Amino acid sequence: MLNQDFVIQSNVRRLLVRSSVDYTRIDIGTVRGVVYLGGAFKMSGINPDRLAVEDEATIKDVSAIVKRHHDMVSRTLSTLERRVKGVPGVLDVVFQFSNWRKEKGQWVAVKAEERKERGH
Amino acid sequence: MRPRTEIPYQRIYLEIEESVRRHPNYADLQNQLGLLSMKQGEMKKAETHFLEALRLNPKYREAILNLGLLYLETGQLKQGESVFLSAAKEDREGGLLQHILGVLYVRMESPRAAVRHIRRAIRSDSQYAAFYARRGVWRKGAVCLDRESREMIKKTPLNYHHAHFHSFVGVYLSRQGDTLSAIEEIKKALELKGDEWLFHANLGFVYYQEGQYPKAILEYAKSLKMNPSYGIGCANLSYVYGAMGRTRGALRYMKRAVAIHPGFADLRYNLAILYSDRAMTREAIFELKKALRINSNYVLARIYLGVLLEERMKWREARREYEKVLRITPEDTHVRQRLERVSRTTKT
Repeated sequence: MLNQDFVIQSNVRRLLVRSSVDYTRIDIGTVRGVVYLGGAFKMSGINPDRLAVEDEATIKDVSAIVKRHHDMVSRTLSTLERRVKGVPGVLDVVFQFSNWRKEKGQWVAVKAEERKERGH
Repeated sequence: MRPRTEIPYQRIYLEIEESVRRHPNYADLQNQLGLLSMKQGEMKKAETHFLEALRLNPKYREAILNLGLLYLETGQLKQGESVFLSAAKEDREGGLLQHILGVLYVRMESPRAAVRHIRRAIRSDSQYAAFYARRGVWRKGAVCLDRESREMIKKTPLNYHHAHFHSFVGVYLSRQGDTLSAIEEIKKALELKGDEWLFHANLGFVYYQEGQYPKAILEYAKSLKMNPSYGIGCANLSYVYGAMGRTRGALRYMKRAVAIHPGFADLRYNLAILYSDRAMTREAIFELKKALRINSNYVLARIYLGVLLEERMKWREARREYEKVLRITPEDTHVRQRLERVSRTTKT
């Protein structure tokens, strides 16, 4: 059977383009059906600082704002993972984002110091 | 048929205004806010933002055009003349600038200057020869500006800035997922300036986003015909063919993209995948090695190279590549498994 890595690559790319993710910061790779997503994960048009400004009146607790942003990104990443796995020919997805990683099934933000250590 | 939607210009205006507040040193944002202000009828504010974009990047061609055309639209012909003359000094072959100057001098009742610039426009771009021939200005290799043709030229709309506005809004909406409105906007841009390769490319991209592949191919083909050196357009067209499963077409355009941008490692990586999919392993390895020469930390290219070497039973070389990958991304279990497999084979 012929390999279909480029077909997968093009479909994953389209999926990212259609999503609320800033696809310009993401590196996509496909190796024998295994999709790699790297670079920085950012949602387009959403900025945690902006959330803070908009909700200043209603949300007093900064940690609540951070948590809300975290939950939103986690949900988006989980949806993205499910969708990429749904692309025909995809066997697995490997996430190598510099700012988010999956730990025991949960998405966690990578701290800035850690990113520096890892050379991102 | 889908009813025409209300395009949220005001919302976009507020969003870009906020972005400019946060990033005042981005020339692109300043130019975009200029366009949006212009559309809101705030001409003075538009002028300020175009000028700021040009202060940040004095060679920003689109901002030069927008500022000059804004002056013409508001009747400030002298200011417009000064903007276009200084831009034309930098780009003497720019057909569009010469054409605008030609029209401007007709409007300013300076026929000798008009003839000079119309001639330059025709010399630098054949589309202007056709344009002026249709209006009876370009006859038997000479520019003839009689009273009748002068009146006609005076009425030539110079509204490229409005076209750029609609194209920008279209791209902005497509990034927010509103592809149908995006298509409407970019079509408006093309109605105003049908010969702009970038608008066709933008429309092609939105059609790709929408999954309307044949339309995407058509728009990219138009764009590439107008600007054959648009390498990223070639790569994007390659992805359209890829999404359709047509790897032969994809290969053709990715090759062209690499020929235009030989120093882009990412394009070489994609070309390598295509070669590999079409069982042209030797060519794929060649491209991956080139990509790695450009960027030795390109992990994705190194993994792929390892896999191709492994498939060619070059165990030692494959092992070396996997080891290098794991030094950068030690948590990659797929590569670790491959390394273990290759290591076992080399031992036996």
